[in-house]
Amino acid sequence: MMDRDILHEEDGVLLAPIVTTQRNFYYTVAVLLALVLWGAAAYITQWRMGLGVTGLNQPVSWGFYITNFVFFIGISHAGTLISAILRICNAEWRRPITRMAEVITVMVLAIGAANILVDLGRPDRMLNIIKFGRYQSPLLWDATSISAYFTASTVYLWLPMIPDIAILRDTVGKRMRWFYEILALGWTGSKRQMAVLERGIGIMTILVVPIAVSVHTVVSFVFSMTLQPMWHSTIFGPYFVVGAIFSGIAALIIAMLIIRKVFHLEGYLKPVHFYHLGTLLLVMSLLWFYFTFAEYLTGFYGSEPEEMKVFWSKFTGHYAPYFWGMVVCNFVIPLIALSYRKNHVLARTFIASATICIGMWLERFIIVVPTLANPRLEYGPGSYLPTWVEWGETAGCFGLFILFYVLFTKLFPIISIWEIREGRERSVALVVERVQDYLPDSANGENAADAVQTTEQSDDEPAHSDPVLPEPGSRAEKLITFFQYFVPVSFTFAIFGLIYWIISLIFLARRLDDVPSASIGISFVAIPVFLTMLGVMWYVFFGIMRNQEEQADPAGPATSTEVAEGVAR
Amino acid sequence: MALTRRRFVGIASLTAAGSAASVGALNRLERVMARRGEWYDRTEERVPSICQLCPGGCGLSVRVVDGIPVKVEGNPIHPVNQGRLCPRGLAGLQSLYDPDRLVSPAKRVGDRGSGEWEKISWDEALEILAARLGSLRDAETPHSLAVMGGEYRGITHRLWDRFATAFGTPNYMRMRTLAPEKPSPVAAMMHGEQRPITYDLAEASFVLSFGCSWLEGWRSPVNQMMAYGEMRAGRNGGRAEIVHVEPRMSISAASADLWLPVRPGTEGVLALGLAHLILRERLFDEDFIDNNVLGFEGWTGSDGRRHPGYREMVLEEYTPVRVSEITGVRAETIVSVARRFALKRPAIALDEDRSALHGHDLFTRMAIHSLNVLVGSIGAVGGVLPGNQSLPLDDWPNLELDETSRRGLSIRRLDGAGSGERFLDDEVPRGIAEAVLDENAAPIEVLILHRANPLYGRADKELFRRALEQVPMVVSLSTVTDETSRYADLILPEHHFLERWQDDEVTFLAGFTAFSIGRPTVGPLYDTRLGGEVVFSLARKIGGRVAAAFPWKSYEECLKNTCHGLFRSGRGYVVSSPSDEMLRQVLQRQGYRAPEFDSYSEFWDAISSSGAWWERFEPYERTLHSFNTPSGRLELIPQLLNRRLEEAASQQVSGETSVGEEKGKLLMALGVAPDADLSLYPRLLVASADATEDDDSYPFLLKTYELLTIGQGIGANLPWLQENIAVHVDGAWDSWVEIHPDTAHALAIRDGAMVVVESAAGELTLRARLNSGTRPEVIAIPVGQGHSAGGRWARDRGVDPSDLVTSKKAAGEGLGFGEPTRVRIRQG
Amino acid sequence: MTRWGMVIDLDRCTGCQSCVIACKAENNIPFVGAEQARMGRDINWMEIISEIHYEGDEVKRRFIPRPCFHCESAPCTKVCPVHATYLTDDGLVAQIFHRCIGCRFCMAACPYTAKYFNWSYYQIPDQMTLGRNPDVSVRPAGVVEKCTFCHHRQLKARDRAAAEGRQMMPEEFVTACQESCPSAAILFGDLDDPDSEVAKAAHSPRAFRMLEELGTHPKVFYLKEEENIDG
Repeated sequence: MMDRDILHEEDGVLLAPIVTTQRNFYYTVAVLLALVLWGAAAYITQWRMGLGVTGLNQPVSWGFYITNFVFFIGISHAGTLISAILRICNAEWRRPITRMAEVITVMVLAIGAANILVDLGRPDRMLNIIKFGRYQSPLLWDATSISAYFTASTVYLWLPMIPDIAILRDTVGKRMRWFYEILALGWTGSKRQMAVLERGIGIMTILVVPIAVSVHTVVSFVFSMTLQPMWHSTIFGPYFVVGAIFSGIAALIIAMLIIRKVFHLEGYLKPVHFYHLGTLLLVMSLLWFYFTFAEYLTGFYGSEPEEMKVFWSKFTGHYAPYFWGMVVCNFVIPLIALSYRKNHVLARTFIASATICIGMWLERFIIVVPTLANPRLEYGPGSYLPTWVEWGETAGCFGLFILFYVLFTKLFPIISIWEIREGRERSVALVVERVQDYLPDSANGENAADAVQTTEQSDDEPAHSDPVLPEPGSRAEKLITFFQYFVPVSFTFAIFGLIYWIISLIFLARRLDDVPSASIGISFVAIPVFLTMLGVMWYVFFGIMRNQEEQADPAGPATSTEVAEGVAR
Repeated sequence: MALTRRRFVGIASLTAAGSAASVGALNRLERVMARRGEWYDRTEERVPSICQLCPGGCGLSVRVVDGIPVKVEGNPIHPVNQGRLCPRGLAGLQSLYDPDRLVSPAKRVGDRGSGEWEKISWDEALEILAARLGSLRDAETPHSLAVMGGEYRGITHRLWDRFATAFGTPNYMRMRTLAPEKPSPVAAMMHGEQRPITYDLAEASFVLSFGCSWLEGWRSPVNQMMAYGEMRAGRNGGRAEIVHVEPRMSISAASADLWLPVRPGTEGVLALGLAHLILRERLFDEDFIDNNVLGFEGWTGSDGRRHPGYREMVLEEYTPVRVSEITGVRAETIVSVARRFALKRPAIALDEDRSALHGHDLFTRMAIHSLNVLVGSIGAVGGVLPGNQSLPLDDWPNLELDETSRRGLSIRRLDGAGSGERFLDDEVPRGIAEAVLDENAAPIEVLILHRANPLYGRADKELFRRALEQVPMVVSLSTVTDETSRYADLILPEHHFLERWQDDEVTFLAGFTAFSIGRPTVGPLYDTRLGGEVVFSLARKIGGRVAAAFPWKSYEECLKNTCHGLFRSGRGYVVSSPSDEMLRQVLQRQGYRAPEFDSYSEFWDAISSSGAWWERFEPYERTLHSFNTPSGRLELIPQLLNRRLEEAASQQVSGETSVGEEKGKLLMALGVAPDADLSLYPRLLVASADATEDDDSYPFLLKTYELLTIGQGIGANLPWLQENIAVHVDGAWDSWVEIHPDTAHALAIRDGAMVVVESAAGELTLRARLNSGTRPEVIAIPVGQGHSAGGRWARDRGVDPSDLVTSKKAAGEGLGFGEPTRVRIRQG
Repeated sequence: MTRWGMVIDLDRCTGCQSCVIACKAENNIPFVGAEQARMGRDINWMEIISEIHYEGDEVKRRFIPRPCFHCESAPCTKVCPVHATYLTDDGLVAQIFHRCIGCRFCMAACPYTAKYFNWSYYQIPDQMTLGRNPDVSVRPAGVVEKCTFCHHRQLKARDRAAAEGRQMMPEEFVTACQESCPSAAILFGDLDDPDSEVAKAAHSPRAFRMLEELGTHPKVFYLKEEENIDG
């Protein structure tokens, strides 16, 4: 059957996980489900008994949940941001990486945000945030920019996937076709569609970067907007962002290595990729250390008594093991592992990334708990001992994240096929061209031009052999078209809903005369961002749809009449 | 002991928790609960009441909404606390709704202490008891009834006393550590006081407190804290200075300006060290001493022996350097404190600490009190005032005793109080236990315990346990199943104090006396009765003269008759708004008096709705020159003591021993060298100092102290108090031992670790709390925890330090005298 | 406009905890039990902080009663995402129990750790529910609570005044802690009324505020201990 044939084609291996299913897949899913169930059990207990079942207390009122929240949101910077940056600077080696990066973002963002809800004492009153929301509170800024980031990265994940989805639509058997058809929006891969898509991607690429930066800045504000010792710091914004990217890359590398191993993608993910990312990681590690150093030095130098209570509890006191563990994991080990990578690139980068993931989690923990455990007044230090519930939730979160990831690889190619192909076909020439732009003009400049010429593909020829589109007018076709429209319309409603909410909150803030900067500034930025995203969505959507119709009408009947004439003759 | 199911069922069915099943008892409660849901207009009132959680006698104003008390607050117009209240009093409400209260009379069906009970009706219960008592009288052995009363206040004591007399038993006694209406032995000896001397703290300029926890557990804490507020307010006399002498930094010590961590047992030496400086620098009040004091200078006794006087003795024995060596207080500190004490008059030296200082408490306290004498604070405003005059309450109709009773009363009291070693005490509860266990003493057939709980918090509780097992019939009249009730054959549940008429006499505070009346704030929630009325119905059931002794129908009526004297006397006023009080004082000063009430019923309504009657004394009204002593003067070297000694000795004298020898023995019992004559202070106290030399096997001294919250255990079943049990350490719902950081370090004990504290008497495992507010050789454990009964929150929580107490001292035991306990600590 | 405030005289405070228990009784504050208390989950709207320090070799201990400070610029009100804690017109930091979503952001933000969370629903025996103050709502599990300056008493006094057709006098509104304090260490009243006792005390040279440097402008003032001149 044709499903299998495709595997023998070029890049077929990328479709393998989707078409075929190993036993390991089920094992993995089973294990992950177990973790998720543990988390679920923990949460149900907590829902029924209240937060009393956790180890949280007075004064340590925040613990694992908030730590996880910050950690996961941090990880989320792996994807979108990295891939955006790589795209912008046309790093050709990005091609196999971008998607597996972007996927991380989407999954992890959802989980990170969920951790806040898990942390609520009254989840049943969650909607009060919408009803009585108050822009003075950094939590609302989080809500805004995280939702922006989430939508943005979803779109940004989906757009580059359209061509691949089309491929799946055309190759994968009947069972799942409807699903791919809806998402593929009748992609034929004509030059025009390509242009639309690339412009769409281009805009998103630019848009995503500031959003990503804003997200973790705002997350840091949750802490730095309070007056608490070791929280109330001006560099928390950049500090968190750097940490985020740092942990993000680490997570990405781990994901890459695992995928490479499991799906035998040695051909696509070559040591060089890890070498590059490793270098980036090393840089971030140094940057992270710089920020940490700056942060603690200022605190130490000022040596306010309250500040120092927290400081010493981290350096020599109860939290020393975590603190120094963090330093070792985030700085010492990576430094050693990454600075010399002649051989065992993979092993070394893996070790570095693994420790960094642990280290960054510890960092978040070290930021959240010690400050709360050492209140300013003479209450005596608080203590925090997480119970099985918190461990369960945490395990559940990680389980869920990996599970999502696995399922994604089951549904979509984890490496962007079309970009790889594009790379094969054109990037060499493009690079040559680009490089030639920098070079001083020379005699044989034309040859390069010819080279480019030759690789030019003709306009109307579809990207690949036979786009299998549903027969026009069939029930299936109508249904699918409906869903295809349904997606952007609901998206539109969502966006406008958000914007309406933001505006109403701004008015509320004015009525309560809250801190204006907070209420107006952040939210104002959000609105245009959302609108732009909406624009892109529509542009791409209709760009592709219109193209499809144009193609279908002239081509289809025309040929049939020709045939008829032929017969007549 | 393990809690078997049967016993559990038994206990449960006795307590409110379990009685949900037994409809009868809870009816009222349920009705009330049901009504709370409905919609209706709230009626709210304030009912005056009296706090019974300590003898301080604070007036309460209970907020009652729809007949249900919802908050206990201080009565704003009550002279004792003027609307203020201590944490224990505020938590009193929880004791009313305590789910472990006794809800109905019960009869023991299992073995002693097994706690298996069977519910019975009040009539049945009283029948059983009355029958038994009747048989005693028929058998002409009324004296084999013993009545032991606890911490109740007011005329209940008079009722029991009357009952005992009418019934014909001399064995009625109170078992209590707090008896503020009794004079301190020192006052009795030196002033010849019959009533407690009072301390005018609010007006004092200098208070030197020797281990007296006057802000926590002494007399009326709230009243003293109010005084403390006054002293701090920088009133016209300027801000008073407070110096606290105690091995441990109690709350009182922490609130003082200066804390002197003195070596335990050397308080008296320090006092005389201060006296030494006052004498040497001639800072004492000469004309007061010349006019009113005996024993200051030396004298020659009838036997021609030369007795050194106070001055001579102190000057030669108590040089600051030497005192400093003994007490561990720096010499210069002694000097400066002495000077300030003498110069900042009026000054007060507080001696009445209830916890044992050392074997020779009596003399230590005399030494301390002598400071008051030196600076002439006696009778001075802001000083030590002679006892208040008693209240003009009505006497009750005379008792006609029948033959049985007369014979019974003629028999000598079993506890041997007032004779032999106990010649100082007027009641020695332990004496009863000893008597019961002693074959050749007259047996006790029936023992009635009214709110007395000898099986908890006493060094001799084991003795009592054995004794109770011997007594054929033990009856317990109480509100909760305390440790003792479990050994009772008959349990009679009593009203909670918020459910009953109450009364209290406050005669031990400076400047006024008061008689408080408390109305029931709520009808009885369970099938309980008022203690006093139980006495009535018992008497009625016994009949004859005994019944005739109690002509009153109800406690209320009895109270009403008793108070009539207040009205008739034409003294004092029913408390009312501050403005009225002001007016009255003005009038009173000018010798006028506005009669307020035409009839007694008006008076009664007024007093029972405002909560108290009181009478102010202006300090200057006091006459000084009459001390009820042999010499008619204030005796620094009390002859009364000498006389009492000789009496007691002569009683003891048997064939071969001489009075002198016997006297020697008694002196030994008081912690004095037998050869000492009664210019006692010197050798005695100095000698005592050596006793505190570290002893290898038990290197530490145990200091037990009382927390303002749970007190001596009365607050142990009130969750609010358990949760905020103390401020100086974190010990919620637990008990702990306070150890000095250096000591702890030496023993490698960390804060919060479990340690074992061990004495000759026993050992306890509890949590260690490092606390630099104590001397290194002293460890401190709060009392009040470690109950084995008495409610779900009190039971099996923490430890009772009395398990460690080794003091077997008989003399002055009833006055709280005793030897200190030595202990050792090891990691648990 | 009245501005309710409190002055606590540390020179008078003996650390007796009357205020603590009075507060618990007045505001239906549950007891959490031994285990919970050991986890540090006990709720004390009014809490006594006891700190020990040394003067030379001399040990000194002092007690600091700590209600909610009802700061003028309260860090907790700023961070609340649902407007469940906010500053009222007469300067109380109010807490809306039935709106709070239990995110505990305000607890994290309060520099004085004066806010408390209901970690579980604290059951008390039926009999004891009788003794609850009908004027104060019982908090459910999962919400933050704190000292309200006995706001219900203010409402009550105001209603009574209204019923009698007159203005409410500041003296009519006393907090439970002030009422019970044996040494009269706590003053409460209108800080804006220049000749009110509390306003005078707040301007005394001994007056200071907790962590003033944070600029939270607490409305609870402390009077520091005095030293005897010759002491």
